[in-house]
Amino acid sequence: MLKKSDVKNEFRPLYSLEKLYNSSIRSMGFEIDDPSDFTQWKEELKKKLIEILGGFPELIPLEPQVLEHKEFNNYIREKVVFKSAPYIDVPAYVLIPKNINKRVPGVVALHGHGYGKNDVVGLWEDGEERSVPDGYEGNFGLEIVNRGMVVIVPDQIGFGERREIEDIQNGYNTNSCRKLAFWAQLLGKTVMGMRVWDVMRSIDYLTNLPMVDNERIGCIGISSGGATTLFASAIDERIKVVVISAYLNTFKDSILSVRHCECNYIPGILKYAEMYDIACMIAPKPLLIESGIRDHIFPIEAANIAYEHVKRAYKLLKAEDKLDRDIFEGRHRLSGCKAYDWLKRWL
Amino acid sequence: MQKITVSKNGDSDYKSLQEAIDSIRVHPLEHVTIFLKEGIYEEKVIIPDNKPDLRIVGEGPRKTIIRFGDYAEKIDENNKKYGTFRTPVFYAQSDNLIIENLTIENIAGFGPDIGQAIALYVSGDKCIFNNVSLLGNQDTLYSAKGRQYFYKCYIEGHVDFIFGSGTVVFDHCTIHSLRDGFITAPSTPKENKFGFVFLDCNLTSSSPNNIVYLGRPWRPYGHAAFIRTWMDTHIIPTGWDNWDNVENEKTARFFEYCNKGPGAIIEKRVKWSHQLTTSESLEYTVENIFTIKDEWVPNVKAQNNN
Repeated sequence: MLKKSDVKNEFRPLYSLEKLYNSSIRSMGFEIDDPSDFTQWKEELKKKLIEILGGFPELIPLEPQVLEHKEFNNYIREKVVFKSAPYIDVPAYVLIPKNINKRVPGVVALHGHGYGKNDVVGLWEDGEERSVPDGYEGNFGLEIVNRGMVVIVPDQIGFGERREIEDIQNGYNTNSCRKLAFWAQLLGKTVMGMRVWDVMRSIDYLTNLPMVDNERIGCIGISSGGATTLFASAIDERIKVVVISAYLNTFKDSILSVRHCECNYIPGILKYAEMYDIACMIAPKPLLIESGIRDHIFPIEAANIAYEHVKRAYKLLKAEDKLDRDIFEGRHRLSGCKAYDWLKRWL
Repeated sequence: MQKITVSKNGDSDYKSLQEAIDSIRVHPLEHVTIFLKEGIYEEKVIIPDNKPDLRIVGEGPRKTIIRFGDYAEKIDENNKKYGTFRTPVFYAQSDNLIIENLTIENIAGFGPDIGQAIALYVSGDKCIFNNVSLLGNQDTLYSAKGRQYFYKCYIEGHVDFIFGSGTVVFDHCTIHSLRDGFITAPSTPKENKFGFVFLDCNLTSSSPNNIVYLGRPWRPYGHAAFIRTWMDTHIIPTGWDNWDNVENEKTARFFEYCNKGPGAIIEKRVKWSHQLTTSESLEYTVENIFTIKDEWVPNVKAQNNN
């Protein structure tokens, strides 16, 4: 077996890039000491982020439609569709608690890799009802609606109903991330940019609902849904409370060190910020970060480093009580031990 | 690594799993993998304790099925009842076994004329069961001793169907109750901190009207913990049973943490069971559970034979 010293460093393809990482990244990272500089720092990085995410499309009317309405013991589940951008329709489930007599919070709940929105709302991949959780997402949409909040669960682009025909034909657990990522990159767009925009439009949908209190909007996501939650919460000020599950780490130790889906890569981002810098932008809003100690694709060691960075921002803004973690014995999955109560408590 | 294939149709090294195991030399010099092809293997299987480091791989729990039908009330040739511990379909007695992608089923059925009928009897240390289905009714899985790790397994039964003195982690497993009954019946020794630990499992049942307890102590210090586990309506609100002995309430170690679902409402749980705090829950890491700090210095008084 080869040792690292057996290969000349200068022959290694990553060597110069590792040097670059260590010397000249994070030109817009969170490095401020004066709380009065925070807003300016955040706004500048936000502008840059939107630019490198590929910009946002033209704002068009939402034209929401309810396709299906089903009543359960404690909640109503609607299947809806709305227009996110030209040529982009978003199918979503909306879960509405029954017996509410005042306005309640609204939460955007974002799935990770898997079979899309169904897994979050208690449906099998083929649309059959199920009460038992499946996979790593733990029916989290149902957990939230059962705590009296409205939940919108869109299919993230590339998953569920939003896949190319050949991917749909290959089964439920496929996605269209790879081709989507390559098309987007060559056209100056990013998958993340498209997903963040869909979240902003999902919030438009929520805030148009009569029972939702527009000042109490939360966002929760697991894995790639955690990624979208991170970026959306850094950009859209309407999001007031945030839960990021099985994602927060460093780009270097997660998506650059472990094989990950193509949808994760945002060209040029490290020139400006590491992942934790983006999380710092969420301060001082309540932010809960979930990490499984056996999550091999978002390693706990780097999750700890990232968390310490984020803590600096909350400390600077004297909001340390609004930052918390759920560290659990487990793999790449949603824990929920603190998450649902976190949303309930702060929204 | 030695490879052995087994199939029913004769295109492999052996036609039965036991023949394949018998062919392996004791204390193998290298790891042995047995590939068990699709098929129903009607046999009783024993992996003796001098054949460690075996790996047995099926083609999936729906395709590779090992089954037999001995049961406790069965009468043997000497006109004696079998009793519980002669019923297993599969005895896993050696250490460091890895069993994957297959089903072990005791097909005896259930009822007073059947009694206990074990599917898997495991006494090997450091054994891994990955994507294995254990099907039975009363006493499906018996862990006599040692440490075992079950990952993404399906285990069904009704009475005491996960029982014994071993230290076992069930990670991402589905534990299915067929009828009224008790999921666990641990007999954890007093000195062992952990017995049966369920992490991120689903507790399901065949009917929402079933009444099922999380466990009852087979021996006074039985330990069981359910963590981040989803529980359906069949789990009784009181949660745990004392096996008709209030004395057990002082010693049994039954814990829960952060469970979810309609059966996980903790308000009515028996007072002698415990909800772990967040910091206590952090002790339940797989490393911690499986680390046994055990020194042994035999103390024998010299015999004076004069």
